[in-house]
Amino acid sequence: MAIAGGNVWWKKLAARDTLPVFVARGRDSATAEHRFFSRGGARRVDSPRHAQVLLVAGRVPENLHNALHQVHDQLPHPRISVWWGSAPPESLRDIALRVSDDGSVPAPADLTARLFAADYRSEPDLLSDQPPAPWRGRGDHGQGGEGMMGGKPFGRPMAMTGFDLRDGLQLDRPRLTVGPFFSALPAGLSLELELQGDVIQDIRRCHPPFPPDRHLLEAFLGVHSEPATIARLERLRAAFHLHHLAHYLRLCGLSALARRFMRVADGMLGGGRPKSLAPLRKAFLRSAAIRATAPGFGQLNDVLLHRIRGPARRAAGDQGDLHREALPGSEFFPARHAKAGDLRARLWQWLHEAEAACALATRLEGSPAESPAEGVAVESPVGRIAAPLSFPDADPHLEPSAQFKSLLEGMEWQEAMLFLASFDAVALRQLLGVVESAAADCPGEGEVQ
Amino acid sequence: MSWSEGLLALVGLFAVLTAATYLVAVMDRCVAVLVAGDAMDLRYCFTAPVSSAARLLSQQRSRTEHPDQLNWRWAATAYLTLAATGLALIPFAPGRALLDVQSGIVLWGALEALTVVVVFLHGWSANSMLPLIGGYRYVAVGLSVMLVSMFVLIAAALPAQSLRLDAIVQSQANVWNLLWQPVGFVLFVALGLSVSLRGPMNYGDSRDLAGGTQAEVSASDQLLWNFARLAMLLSFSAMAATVFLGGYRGAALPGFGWLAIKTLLILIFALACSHGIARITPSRMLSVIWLLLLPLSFFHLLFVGLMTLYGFAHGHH
Repeated sequence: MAIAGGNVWWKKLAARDTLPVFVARGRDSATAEHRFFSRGGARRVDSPRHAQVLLVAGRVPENLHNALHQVHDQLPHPRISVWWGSAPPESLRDIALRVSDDGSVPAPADLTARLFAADYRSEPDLLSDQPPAPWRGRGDHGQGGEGMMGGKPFGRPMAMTGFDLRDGLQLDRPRLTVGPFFSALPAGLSLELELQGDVIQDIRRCHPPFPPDRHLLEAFLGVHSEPATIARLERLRAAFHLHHLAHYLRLCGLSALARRFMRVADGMLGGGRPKSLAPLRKAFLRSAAIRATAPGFGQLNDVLLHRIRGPARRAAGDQGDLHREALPGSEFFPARHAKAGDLRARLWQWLHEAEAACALATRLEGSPAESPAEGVAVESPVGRIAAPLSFPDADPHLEPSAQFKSLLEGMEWQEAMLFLASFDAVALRQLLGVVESAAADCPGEGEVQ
Repeated sequence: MSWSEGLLALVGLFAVLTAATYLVAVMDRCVAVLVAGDAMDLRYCFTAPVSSAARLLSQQRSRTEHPDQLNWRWAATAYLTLAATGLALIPFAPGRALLDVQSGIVLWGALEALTVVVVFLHGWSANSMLPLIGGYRYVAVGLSVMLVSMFVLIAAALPAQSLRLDAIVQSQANVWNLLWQPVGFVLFVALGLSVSLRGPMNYGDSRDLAGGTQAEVSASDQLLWNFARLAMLLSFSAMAATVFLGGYRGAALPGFGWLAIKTLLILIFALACSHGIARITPSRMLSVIWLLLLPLSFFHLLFVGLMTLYGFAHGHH
């Protein structure tokens, strides 16, 4: 539905607004997303219905293309898609924009001008406007189905009744698949849920979240031709944790405070050197965001605890932190161990580790760059790693383990979103039972320890 | 009032509503910028509501599969009507209000109750799961908070010995209700955030549901819904200014001027709360409301009743 060419003042007014963009994150999407938004003029929206631009950042695996096309078709006209790291489908080759890492980045103002041009042909739908289950006409007793309930459904299957976990009441249990591009979940995580009200009753299938940006992990292993200084690595670590905390704050409704955290984090990624993160910690405490869940909520049992590494495990009392061995004489004080292992403890752990990393970076400013010897393990923000990892693409219809199911069953929606947000992507993959393997060309064991 | 006067009043009401709601949108952006620590860009804050409205109107209206069309479109209009009605109840000069009802404060309570219905319908009509969950959650929390507000409003009406809003304003001749009913004020702000779907009480339109009840709306429908939300915040602020800050009472300035200033103060407070306090999980919030806030409101009512009985509250005696 194009705007009539005559309403120029109207379009000029609309063009002043920041461009609403829905980001469909694929693998290694951080660079694309950061570069697109760093110049301003665009804002992220949570629902594709609120967006005019679809930014496909990073590589989206083949088996998730159907989901991506569904998201694309939900954007209202006029719409345009920007493909950064993936190839657009055939039907969009002429209209969609393709960007590469070393190419020029489309400016939001240019995209807006394109969208509002009088002769702009908005992108067509990628999927046909047909229901997934074809309508086969009326059944014997009226609208689909044989008898009152059940039987062979005509048209879309009904939500059948089932026992509620809380009180055994028999109510409808609709099924919902969220992800892999759902804004509240980590990128790539998709869950097929059975709900009653807003309480998760069962998880049928899932797709694990995408691993963290490989540039990040490779920086810690010194894989790049220029080894990074300790100060730079510690700021990378702090920025990584602050990104996670910002996501948690957004889920608690504190978007403005989350922007503050993101600004400090992105500043550190861009070379900024804040002396201390104390103002952020004060703001975090004042907002009562830590109290969003009950104390003791979100604890893992021992079996699951042994699968994960990194800050999540340290939040349960594990003392392992390679900083001490790697930096003798630097008087590194490990972050306070919360020990409770619940959701609150994991948040505290991130905050404390970010602060410790920032303080360490300030103290060791000017130390020479060095890269670890091959095969030596380093403490990355997601745990100990010893070699580059390959993180193969996963099957989108994995059956989650019984352990994982038992974690989320009975949680209400916000609790589940906050719980999943309290782990980084690698820890979540480990909880789901995905085994990471070393890159094929790297010798030695490469399992994330 | 003749029908032409009535029409004029209606037009005037919507003109004031639109202008004031625009200012609320501006203030919301200013507070968000302050909390985020970004550089304050006043020009952006003033032009953004208008330009984003223009952009929304240029979008296509979204369609879902078999929505309840009538209720979906009606919900946003009804929400705006509730906000406008609430604003019409506010007295802006001694004995003068657009809608001067003997039981004005009870009518306001009824508007709060209808908000629950409207928000649920908005979530349900889209025939989509995420808005539906938003609607469910809102009903659970909204109903509970509404009970709390009933006691707060009765407590505010007690010293005035009348349910008429003008009488409540007059009863604050010597001292504002805020000063000796602070608990009631805090509880009322919690309600205000709930009916306008803001901040810590925003269970209907929250980000963990990708926008909740507005996840599937776009274009003019989204514009109308968000306009209605801001209008409801304005309406609540004006009501709080009337019931707790003495409304139009004040020297030197005309009544309308004082009402505007007091509404502005409440708005700043409400917006600061909405950008600064986290939203806790619904089950925790329900525990807080039923185990803490509701008993607190009972004791508050008891306290106010006793004060009124023993003549400590100097109304308009």
